[in-house]
Amino acid sequence: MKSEYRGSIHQRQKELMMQWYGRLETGGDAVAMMISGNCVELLQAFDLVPFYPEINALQLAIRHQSLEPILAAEEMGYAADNCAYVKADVGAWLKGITPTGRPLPQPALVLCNFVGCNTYVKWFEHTAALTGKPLYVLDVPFLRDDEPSEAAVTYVVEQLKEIAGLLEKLSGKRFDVDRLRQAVANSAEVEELWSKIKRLSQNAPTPFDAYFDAITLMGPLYVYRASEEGVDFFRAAYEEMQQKVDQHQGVYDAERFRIVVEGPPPYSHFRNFRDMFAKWKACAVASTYSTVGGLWEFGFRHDPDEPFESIARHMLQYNVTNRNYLQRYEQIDRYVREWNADGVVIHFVKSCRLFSAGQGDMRDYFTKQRDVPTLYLESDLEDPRYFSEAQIKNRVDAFFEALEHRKAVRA
Amino acid sequence: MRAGNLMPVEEHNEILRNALDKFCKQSHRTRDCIRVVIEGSFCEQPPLDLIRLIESAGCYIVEDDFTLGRRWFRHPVPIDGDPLRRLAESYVRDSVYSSVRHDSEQSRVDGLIAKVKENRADAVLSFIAKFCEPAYFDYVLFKRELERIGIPHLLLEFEEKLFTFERLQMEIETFVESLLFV
Repeated sequence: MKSEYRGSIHQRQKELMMQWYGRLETGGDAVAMMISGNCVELLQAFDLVPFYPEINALQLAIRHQSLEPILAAEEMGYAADNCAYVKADVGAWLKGITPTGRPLPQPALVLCNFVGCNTYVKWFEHTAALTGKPLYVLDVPFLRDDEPSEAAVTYVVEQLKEIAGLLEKLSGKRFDVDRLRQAVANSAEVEELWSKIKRLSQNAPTPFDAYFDAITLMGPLYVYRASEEGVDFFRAAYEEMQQKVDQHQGVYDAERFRIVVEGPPPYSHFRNFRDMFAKWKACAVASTYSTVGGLWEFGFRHDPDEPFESIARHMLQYNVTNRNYLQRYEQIDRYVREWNADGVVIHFVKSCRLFSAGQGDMRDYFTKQRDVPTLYLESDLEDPRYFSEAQIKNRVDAFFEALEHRKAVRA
Repeated sequence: MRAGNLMPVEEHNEILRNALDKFCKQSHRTRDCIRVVIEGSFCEQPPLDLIRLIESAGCYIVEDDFTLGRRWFRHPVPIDGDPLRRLAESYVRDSVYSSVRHDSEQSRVDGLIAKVKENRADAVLSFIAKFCEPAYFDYVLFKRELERIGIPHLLLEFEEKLFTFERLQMEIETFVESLLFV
């Protein structure tokens, strides 16, 4: 069965990501950063390349290469309960394993853009300690209310300016605010296109799977967002998707279920996991995971008139990891209503405690208070030992059988 | 320390003064024990029986991080000037190292090694509450440095509601004996 949308953007995405790895392999001008609330615009202003350990870790898992580094890290002292992304990354560094198979030099600066997850701080402290590279921890206060305080914005802006000073030394280039404005303007354009793409999945059938296919698009979104290549890529992606909508083409020959997905995927069994939903012709129309690096579909854009302030606001307020649980409920609730979904699939990830804690209550909320059918699955995003295929498949099948019955009764 | 969380500070200070006075007057027969630092990122206090067990298994606990949440500062907060500013300055410049706080000036590893040296400890017991991910992360870098400079250490796990300690007791006794008699 055709279980995914394969368009020319998938090929272009591969080329862009390999081009990125090619640049990282030459070494010297890379800065390690986290996906959540990343400030790639600042790097772009200095022609520096982001180095994302999370992308490396997930690439290893997709290629079924994550277990060996995880075991190497556990031998070094990491516990079963430690985040497997960290273990895969550290173990891969110890063993010299890389996603491309070619050597990958460590970045010149370890920039911990901490948002929401304290594992990030530990991870980058360890990276810096093991590789001997300098570390800067960018402290981003958690979003407690609907809006960050002005003091919080100023606090982050001051740190961003401090980082600009570090990047000057690293790159040997003077900081030029116009270059930053251009990077921020590119981001704003990509964010507009990305938001339009995400709105296209409000159509029935949806032209792409807003979980599995959105993940494919997330690589360029975080690596190239602030560059002209990023703008070109997302413009082409939007046009391709719009064309599919015009021709009433969906992911499957007939879309049967529309779902919203919460949580990262099990990358070690990505294909098998996708096929479990393909069997039921169930399409994701929205997902929270596709907003970890930025939440743009509800209107926020980077602003070239206020480059530092808008980068700070993006980090503080407009990515799912730095927002509170009630805000995540509201986000999912809007997806269900505005994208016209039949149910919510929650994937609990053992590695991401800070992201997953509370998902039991979330399930109760949607089932009991919002009358939205939910499916709760548990495994891991990186460690293949936690993926129990038969059990997960049973639960997926049971959920869609029940959903089919519910739809029939309500019809 | 724990009681200090639950009563007026003046009353608690009085208790501490009395306790200090009594400890100074007490005399003990030296036992065959090793001097240990206990490290576990204890936001709370572990079960009292567990602490007694460590001592009875042959350890002098010369330093620990029990009730870490109570131990904000290394020195008294200056009481002149704006009190909020003084508190903030002490937090930024004079905090004890803690698993949940990044300190760009002093790493946790340096903090632990300083503790070991200042207290002339023979070994470190890493006592980690199950599922406490921050403590498990710290353990990796602690272990690496302790092994680099040749300080014996032992990893132990406990649960908040633990009430049988036989396995832990045996592990600690074996560790102590390996240092005392081998």
